[in-house]
Amino acid sequence: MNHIIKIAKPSLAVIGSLLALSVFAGEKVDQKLTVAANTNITIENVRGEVVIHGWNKNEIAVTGELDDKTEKFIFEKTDNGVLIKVVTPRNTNYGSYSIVDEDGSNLIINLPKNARVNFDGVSTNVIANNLQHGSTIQTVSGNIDLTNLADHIEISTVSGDIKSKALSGKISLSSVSGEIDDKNSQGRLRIEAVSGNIDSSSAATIVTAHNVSGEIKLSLQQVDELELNTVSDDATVTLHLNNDGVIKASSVSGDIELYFQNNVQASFRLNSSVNDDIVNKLTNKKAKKAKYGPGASLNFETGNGNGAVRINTVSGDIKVAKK
Amino acid sequence: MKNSLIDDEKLASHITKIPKEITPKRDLWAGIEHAISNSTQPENVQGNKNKKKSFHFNTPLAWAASVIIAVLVSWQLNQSFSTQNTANVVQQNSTTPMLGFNAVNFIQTNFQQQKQSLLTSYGKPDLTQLPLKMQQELQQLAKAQQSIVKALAKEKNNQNLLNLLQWTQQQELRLIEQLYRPRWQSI
Repeated sequence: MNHIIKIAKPSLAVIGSLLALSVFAGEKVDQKLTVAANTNITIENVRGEVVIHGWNKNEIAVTGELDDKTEKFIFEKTDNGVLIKVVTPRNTNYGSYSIVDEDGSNLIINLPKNARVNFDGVSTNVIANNLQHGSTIQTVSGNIDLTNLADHIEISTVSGDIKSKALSGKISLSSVSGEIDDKNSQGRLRIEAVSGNIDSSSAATIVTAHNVSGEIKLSLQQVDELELNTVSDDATVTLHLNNDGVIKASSVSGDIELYFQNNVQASFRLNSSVNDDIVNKLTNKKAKKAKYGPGASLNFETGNGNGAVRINTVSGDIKVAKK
Repeated sequence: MKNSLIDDEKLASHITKIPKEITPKRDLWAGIEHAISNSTQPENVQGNKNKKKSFHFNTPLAWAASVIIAVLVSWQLNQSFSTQNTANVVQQNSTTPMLGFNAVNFIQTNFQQQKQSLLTSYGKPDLTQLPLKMQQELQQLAKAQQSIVKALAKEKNNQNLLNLLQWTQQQELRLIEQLYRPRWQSI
């Protein structure tokens, strides 16, 4: 809304504005703007595909083709950075959320790698790489492909897929029905989905993964904290739990399987409310069935027991084993 | 009247003639003292015996009575204590589930209010007009919430489940926000 107000009052909003051009729909665009290295850049595009690439120049360059229904293309400095926006009619029917329209924009945006980027779209595919100073990307149905992003990273889509590679920093990846595939991330990772599957091989030390009906597969390295929640689908994690590391996992009906390094040192408290299928392959200790009613629990310790593993499920199976 | 006055005078004169003390013809004190000393010892002995008897007779009764009283008192105390404990346990048992249920109810009510106010802020949109896939996602979240609430009925204070419930609710609100953001509302 602020952007709309700012668009409506460009004379107040623009500081040192260089460009505010109206371009005919479907036309090619090739524009540049010199900016500070760490400026905030907001990009809005409803449909199509946008490639965002961080480079070493203090310059933003936008090239490509605009949406067939473009009314206006805005590329200007504002009070809080730079706005790049493809304005299309508000009553445009963009059809299904799952289809990225071929008539949409097709843009390549090169910008300073230390700029902070904020992208907002509906059915726009986004490919972003080499952004080092934080990025927020939201789409509804578009797929998001990320490589080499750093700092504070917040990515969300409703039905689109997220593919990420070499992210670092404080990372949040969220999709509703789309798949999330994360590779070689590090730092602090949070992955959430509703029905989409989550697959991550990460060096993050603090990891949170939530899913409702999709599967969770995590291949982690040195973990200090892991929080794992699933409702009805399974979660499988391989990891090296650091000294004093903590794992909290819970599910309603989904199975939880954790595979540890050989010398894991932790106290384990595993509990199932209805099911009695708790498998321990780390020690010889077996689960105790509940005295009254269904369910089972298993408590044991390995090594000096300084870590903590707490797994709770209502009716799912629990398995802890070595990798 | 006159006769009576004379009689009174005679009586008064006779009274004045009467000796003020009557001394027994023989000294009775020795006999009295003897009688007292003789009679008091047996009496004392008897009294002691009686006392002892009564003591011996009363001690078991007293003990029994005290034991009974003690038992009764302790039973009563225990009874009241256990009643209190039972009441507490009952209260705890009744309040704990109530707390659990209240927590779930509270979370549910709070969520419904948030959802309604969110939908109202977006002009009460018809959710059935959403793309089928998104409707399915909302149904998926609702179904997940139902299964968690069902599980919470068995484990009222399971914090993990309460967290899961809240998370699924947040996901639903977030999805509604994503679908009906003012910016894209016209689409």
